[in-house]
Amino acid sequence: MRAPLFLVLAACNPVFGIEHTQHELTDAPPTCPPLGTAPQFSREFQQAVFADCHNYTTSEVGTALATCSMYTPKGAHDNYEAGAINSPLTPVVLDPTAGYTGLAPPLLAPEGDVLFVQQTNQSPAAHVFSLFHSDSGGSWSWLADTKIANGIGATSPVTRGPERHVLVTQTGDLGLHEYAGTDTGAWTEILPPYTQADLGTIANYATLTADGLRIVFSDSDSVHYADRPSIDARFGAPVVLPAVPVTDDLFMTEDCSRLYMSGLGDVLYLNQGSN
Amino acid sequence: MFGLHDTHSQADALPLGCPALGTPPRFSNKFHQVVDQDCVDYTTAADADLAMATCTGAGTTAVFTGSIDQPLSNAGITAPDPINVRRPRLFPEGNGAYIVFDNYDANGDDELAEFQLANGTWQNVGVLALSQWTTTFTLPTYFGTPTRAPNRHIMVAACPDVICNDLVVHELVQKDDRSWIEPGAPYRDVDLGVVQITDAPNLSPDGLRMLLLAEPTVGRSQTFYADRPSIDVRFGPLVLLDTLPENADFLTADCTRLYFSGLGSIFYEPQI
Repeated sequence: MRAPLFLVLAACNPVFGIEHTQHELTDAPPTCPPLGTAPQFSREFQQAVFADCHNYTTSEVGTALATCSMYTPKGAHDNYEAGAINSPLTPVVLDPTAGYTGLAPPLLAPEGDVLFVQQTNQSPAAHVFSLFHSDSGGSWSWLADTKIANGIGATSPVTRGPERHVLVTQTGDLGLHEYAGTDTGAWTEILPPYTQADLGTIANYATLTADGLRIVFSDSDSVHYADRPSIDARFGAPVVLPAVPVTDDLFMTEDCSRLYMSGLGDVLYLNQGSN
Repeated sequence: MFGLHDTHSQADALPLGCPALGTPPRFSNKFHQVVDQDCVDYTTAADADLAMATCTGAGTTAVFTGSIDQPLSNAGITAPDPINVRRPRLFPEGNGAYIVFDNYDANGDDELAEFQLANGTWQNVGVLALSQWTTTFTLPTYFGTPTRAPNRHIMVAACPDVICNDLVVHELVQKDDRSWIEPGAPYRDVDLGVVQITDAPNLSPDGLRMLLLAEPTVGRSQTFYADRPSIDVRFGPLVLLDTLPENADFLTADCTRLYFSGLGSIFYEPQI
């Protein structure tokens, strides 16, 4: 008696248009794979911003910041621009403080209300890692300077506060150095640097996720990924992310869902996925 | 219940073709990475499964070929030492290509060489007699993709004077005796409404459509589209395709794909 009843009920779905039960996570946004497993990225690039911008960073409050090239009859110069994530950007006011003449590309902190930027001066040679705070009206004001080290190359985005971490490529030993500090305090190098032997290559640029557990870095040929179980541990052995183009301004979101970069005159991103 | 599929319009499954003349094609903002090689100047044939590009690898740059969207390999195309070859432009038929010889003559001028594909090898059959347009003044000179034979059309961008502050575009037509004529006046930036022409337009195989790289304002070069009702008339006004990546200027014959290169790869955007 039970078998015929089951068959009748089973036939009801096609008749009444009832869909099969789907696993709820089918359409869920991607999250990072377990630590120890590198995320895979799609081979389909998407335009995030149609403008010649680079060093695009995003925050957890939906804002983004980038350095954009502006062309005039007198030549090209950089503008610092901000806006909503994956939306057009508009210029913001961000100027070097006294004693400095240049700014490296500023990078948003995860909270979105502060940015870190390396200020430089050519003569006398000087540099400092500075914190700026977002004011109303699209301007950024200096808050504090933090001396990190001599011979700074490129700096990564910082991790979430109050104690932040940053990765720095240093021009002297070609290693990747990790510093920790607060927004107004001194920063100290907390671990031995990652040497060329540790990484298997020379890192030109590294990006650090907001939780500090994952890095993506580029050398001259490839893009590499590494992670660690806690923010105070050393990163494990890096692996290559295949087919990810080599740029020196990669930025991976904390949930690993997107990997941003500049190229082809735009800001682009790759979604996590295998297609 | 009986395994019948939902009814669909048959048009759903048809591939996109070119829009009507007068209407520029529109493209997705998704870039599909099809060839993970450091190549530029990617062109595809319309009548054969053949692609060609200039690729750099292991410290050398050469003309590479392969199937469309597949890895490319060195085509073995060489020029008399020490001349370099670059900027290949496949014929729509897939049986030949125009390729630039750098510094070909004693004046250091570039020339456009014709290669034919025979029995799997590329044979140089001579340089095109274009000096009337390309070597009057100084470099640079640029060449776009040709139309079908016979009487191919090709666009050449050349300096109009020694100063070379801008480029002008000449549309040349090959006569039956293989010589070239310029039936109309050249296209100048002021005529086209752009600040500066930055490359030679690529023509569609039927010669009715072209993509041109130019600067709409000072600075960034962008892609413009134009078409015309027949191959013997001048192109209509340029339309800016304003969301395309830089250097996106090769459109397939059926308008379904727009190819471009950068970031060490070759990409396309599909028509939408």
